[in-house]
Amino acid sequence: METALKKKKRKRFEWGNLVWALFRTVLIFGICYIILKPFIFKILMSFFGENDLFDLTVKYIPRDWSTHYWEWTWDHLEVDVAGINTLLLAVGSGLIQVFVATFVGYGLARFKFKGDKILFGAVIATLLIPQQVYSIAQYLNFTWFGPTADFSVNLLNSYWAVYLLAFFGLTVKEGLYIYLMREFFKGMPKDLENAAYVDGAGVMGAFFKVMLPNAFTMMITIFLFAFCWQWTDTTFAELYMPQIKTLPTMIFSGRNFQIADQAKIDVFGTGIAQNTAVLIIIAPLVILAVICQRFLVKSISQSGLAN
Amino acid sequence: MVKNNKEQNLEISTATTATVVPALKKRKRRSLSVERKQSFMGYIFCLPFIIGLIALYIPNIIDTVVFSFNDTIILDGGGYRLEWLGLRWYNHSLFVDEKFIQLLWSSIGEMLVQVPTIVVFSLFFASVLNQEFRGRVVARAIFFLPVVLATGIVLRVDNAFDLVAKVPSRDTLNDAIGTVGASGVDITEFLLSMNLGEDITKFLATTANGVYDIVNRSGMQIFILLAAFQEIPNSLYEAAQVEGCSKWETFWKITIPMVSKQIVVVTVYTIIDSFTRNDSALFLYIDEISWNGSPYAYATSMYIIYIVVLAALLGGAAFIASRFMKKSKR
Repeated sequence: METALKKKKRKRFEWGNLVWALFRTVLIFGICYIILKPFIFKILMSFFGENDLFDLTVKYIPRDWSTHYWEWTWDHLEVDVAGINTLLLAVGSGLIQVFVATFVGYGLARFKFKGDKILFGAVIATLLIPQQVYSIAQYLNFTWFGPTADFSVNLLNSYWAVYLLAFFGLTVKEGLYIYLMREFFKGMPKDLENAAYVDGAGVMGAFFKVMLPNAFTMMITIFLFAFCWQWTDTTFAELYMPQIKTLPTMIFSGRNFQIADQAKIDVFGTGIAQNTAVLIIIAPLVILAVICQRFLVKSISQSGLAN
Repeated sequence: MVKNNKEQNLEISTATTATVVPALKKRKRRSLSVERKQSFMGYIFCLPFIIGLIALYIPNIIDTVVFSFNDTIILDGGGYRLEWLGLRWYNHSLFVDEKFIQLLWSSIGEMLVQVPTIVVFSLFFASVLNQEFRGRVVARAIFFLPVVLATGIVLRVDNAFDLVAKVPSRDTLNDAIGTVGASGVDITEFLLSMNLGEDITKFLATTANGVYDIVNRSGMQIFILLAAFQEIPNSLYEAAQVEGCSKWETFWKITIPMVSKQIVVVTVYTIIDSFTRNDSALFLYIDEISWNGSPYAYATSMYIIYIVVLAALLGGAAFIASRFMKKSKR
């Protein structure tokens, strides 16, 4: 009986399902192609040999395969210096951003105090006003950071500019993390904290022992976003720390990749080397994305189940 | 802190068992102080952001506004001097610079089209990715890529590469390199070979490039909605199935209401994202002006006009929405 019912049901829906499955497959293939296309061509191009550059019949697939550009790029990226700088900046800024976003988000979600709405409005305002609007003012404020000109320090060309901005909750998109955290904590039942209070915990105790463990997965998500942002950032680094070498700025800011070694690499070669360098820089992030997407989607939904 | 609270609880519990009237009084006073403590803790938690606002952000904004009204003259020994200009550059950008006004309206119009498109697009693809099919894990990972590469470093390299590829002396090589460097979906050639006519070809090509843009800008949204979809308890769908709902009905009556909060989050995110994209035509124009030696007040006044116009639009929209919500609640 049951199987008969099942069969009937399956028959009724078969055509619609088949059409939908076909449509879905085409759609997903199409979008995946759109996303992956630049990477596929970059990878193919990075294996161009020197002859391929001047061979007009070669369009996408190299005929004269060589790892020439990979070697050149690896030699000129200064991974030992720039890589460590980038790593320190990204990890440091990511960690600070996570904790600040968690704290401020919790404060905005759970406590009523004078000006809390204004403060939340300010968070949104920091998001809405593009950084480049006040970048010159910020540059000057970083050059003489302090209450007066005599008691000021120059924050340019140091990690402190990045770390301090992260601590103040003013890094690009940090307002978004505060917003996400606030939404998350608002979704948590108040009974959790009340139970902790009844058990004799203070506000801080309840926060650290009850709320933080629940928010852990959300914090990892935010850390990853913040990390990826800092890892690939060029605009901020070029403006506020032109002398610190980071991986992305190695490609652009008139460093090694602009001063092409005439004997071995010409203008087009520089372009291909830049493309190859981008592949090297984003490789860790792509691996992170592949590992994390499953965990992240699961984690956010798990944390949502606590609602 | 912990000890303090313990004392409170003890006191309240003993008070309730004791005489009623003083206990009530006591409790009222206590609850007031708890409230004050709560508000104090609120400040403590928000402290980093409050300091940031006072020490850096508000000065930044004030300085920016001041710069837009003044001529900034950089002194030889370092530092700068301000010379009052008043509204001169505002007048210039509003009434003289035709290109700015044109770009301002076109960018706002673009935003009005793109925000709903991105929200609907991400809603659709989140629900597609939420379904069971072979290769789902791979597809999700690929859709996740734009989130990771949010700073647009790939785009920047491509732009630099296009510039290089357009060097006139190497004109013959443009075909070989230029098309490889462009990451947009280049279907023009394909369409031309189909003899569809120039207008249709142009339309389809811009649509395809628009799709590329939208896909790259909706990664985060898809991700948030996908997580929201997984929060919906399966029992709801089972109940709907028992009641004989079609899939279409289930989507509108269960899925959409259940993720309505996340739809708001996604919409807010999309609006913010389109506010601050630094590759919009308007920002590129302002950048160009500020780098080719024009007074700093010029670029700043344009930025401020842009923000004021957008804030007015957004505020108006929020106001109308809240009025509408109130009415519908009544």
